[in-house]
Amino acid sequence: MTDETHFADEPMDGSDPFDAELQAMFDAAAPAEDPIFTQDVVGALGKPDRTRLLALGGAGATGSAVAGTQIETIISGPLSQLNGVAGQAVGFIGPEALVTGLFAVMALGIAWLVPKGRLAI
Amino acid sequence: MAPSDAELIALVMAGGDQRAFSALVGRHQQAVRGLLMRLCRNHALANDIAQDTFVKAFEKIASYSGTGSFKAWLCKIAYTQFLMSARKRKAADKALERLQAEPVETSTSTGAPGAKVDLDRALATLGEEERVCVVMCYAGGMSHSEASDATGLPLGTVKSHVNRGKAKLKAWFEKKEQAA
Repeated sequence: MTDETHFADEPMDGSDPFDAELQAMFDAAAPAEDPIFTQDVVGALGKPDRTRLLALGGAGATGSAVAGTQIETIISGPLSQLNGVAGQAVGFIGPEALVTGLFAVMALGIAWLVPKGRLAI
Repeated sequence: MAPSDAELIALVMAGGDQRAFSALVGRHQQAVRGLLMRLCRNHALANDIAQDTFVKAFEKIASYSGTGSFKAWLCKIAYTQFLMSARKRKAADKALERLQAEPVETSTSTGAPGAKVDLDRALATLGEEERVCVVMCYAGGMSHSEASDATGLPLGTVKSHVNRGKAKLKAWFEKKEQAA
């Protein structure tokens, strides 16, 4: 007889009366089934870890701040070369408004892509 | 007829069915929470780790091979989560020493409170590995081979720990009875 077959799926051998007594003690000490616990677990499913969410949010905000200082230079250069109505419109709106619009479009895109309920805290 | 664990697991694996997972949580929460309560001896901490265990199980359900029982798989995750929590807290060893001297019953579940205190006090006299093995087999309802898989200890070692632990517990309760 190998160890594996000897021990396989045998929580207790039942030959020792103390086994049953000990099992009864553990059963008596076991917590009662708690429906609220089940609800809490289901409520926690799909919610990202708060620390992770804050870290991602912080990284995103830092990235946005850095990009915000650079995009104006990047965009205003080529746009200043535009002539006609488009160029005038760009000049009228200004690079700040363009960047704001660009970020608004990006935010809408993310909101559309992220599954419903995924960011619930 | 209530669906089997395998059917519920298949539903969760197929589409992340939260209702099916909720049924699995309801079915196995007592074993997982019972195991953790005997390991932590702290009701709130055990429930927190149990919740983390089930969330982790939901996220990693695709890795459940189906070869062993789902309960044993959950208990293995619970034990891993317990170890991670103990490492994070750092003071776990000190707390254990304190609890060995005077275990505090913080459970609010039903049952005779005195018996629970006695059981926790008796368990505190065991060595760490003995206690883990005994708790897995009796509170978690795991077989020796499942406990071996969960702890990473050789099967023979688990069997020895359980037998030695059981003998110590028996002696502790006999001594207590004589003193009473």
